[in-house]
Amino acid sequence: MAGTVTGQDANVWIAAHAAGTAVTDYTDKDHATFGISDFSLTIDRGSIEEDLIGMPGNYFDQGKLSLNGSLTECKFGASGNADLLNSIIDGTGDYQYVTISGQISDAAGKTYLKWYLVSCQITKYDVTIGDADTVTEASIDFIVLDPQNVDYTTGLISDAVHS
Amino acid sequence: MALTPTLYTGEDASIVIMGSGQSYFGISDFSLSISRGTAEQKLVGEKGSFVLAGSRSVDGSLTGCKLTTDGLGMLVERMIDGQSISISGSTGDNSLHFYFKSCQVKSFNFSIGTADDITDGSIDFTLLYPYKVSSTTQDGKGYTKLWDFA
Repeated sequence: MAGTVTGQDANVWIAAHAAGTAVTDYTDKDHATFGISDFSLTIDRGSIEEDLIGMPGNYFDQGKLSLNGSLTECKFGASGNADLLNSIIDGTGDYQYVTISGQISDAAGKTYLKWYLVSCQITKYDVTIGDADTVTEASIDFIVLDPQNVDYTTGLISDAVHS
Repeated sequence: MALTPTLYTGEDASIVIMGSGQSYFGISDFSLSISRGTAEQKLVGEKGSFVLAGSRSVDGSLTGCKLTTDGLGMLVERMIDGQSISISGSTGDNSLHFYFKSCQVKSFNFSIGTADDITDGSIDFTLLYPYKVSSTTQDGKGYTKLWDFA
């Protein structure tokens, strides 16, 4: 069925960076370096509600936008890439923000959704250690700090301010 | 009531979102919830409270596997831009038909797994004008229709 893809087709890139700078070198910043086993992104749009007298229901309108997501990685710290750890612990200088970008697929014939989110903050880093049959993983939650900058252009969801 | 009571499956359903059918979005499930709140007045000296019908709300959700610009991307664009979408469809020819123009996409979520997992996205929506919803049963045609516009 055209347009249907699996996780094999996806790409994710993650890189910490300083405020006001753009990541230009994505060497060792891809999903393989982090060992990502799942990734999700959620976009929420709130509703505002105004109670109405004399009507069988209330008035609703579009509310505020917010974005957050999560991922699980098995190669973290010096064994993979430490950008996420450095960002949540340090959070200043070259680790103040995290850019998280990716695409559902780059297969020809369709334009799949892509995302380029430059104002991400890591809000949670949870490491779980089990027995010898259990791969040690880290679960990460992140949030977009500048949702007011988010727009959609031909499949690209981005918070980078375009000139 | 329909001339002949009929049982339908998901195969008989149709969903149209912003003029595009279910195949554009690769919809694997769809739900529509119509709720009516209650207004309750507690009563002293009675064995129960006094209850009236309250406000109406309509919302729903769907899951689609086509995360492309001509698939769920159309809904994400409307969500980010703050524009409403239209959602219509039916559960079967002689069953429930609906046509809602004031739908707001409240949430979009996609998850990427392994090569064994289809990448799909979930959409939650709500009706901005639930108080406009009307229903009519077309006895001659044998279906019940809901809509949110005059």
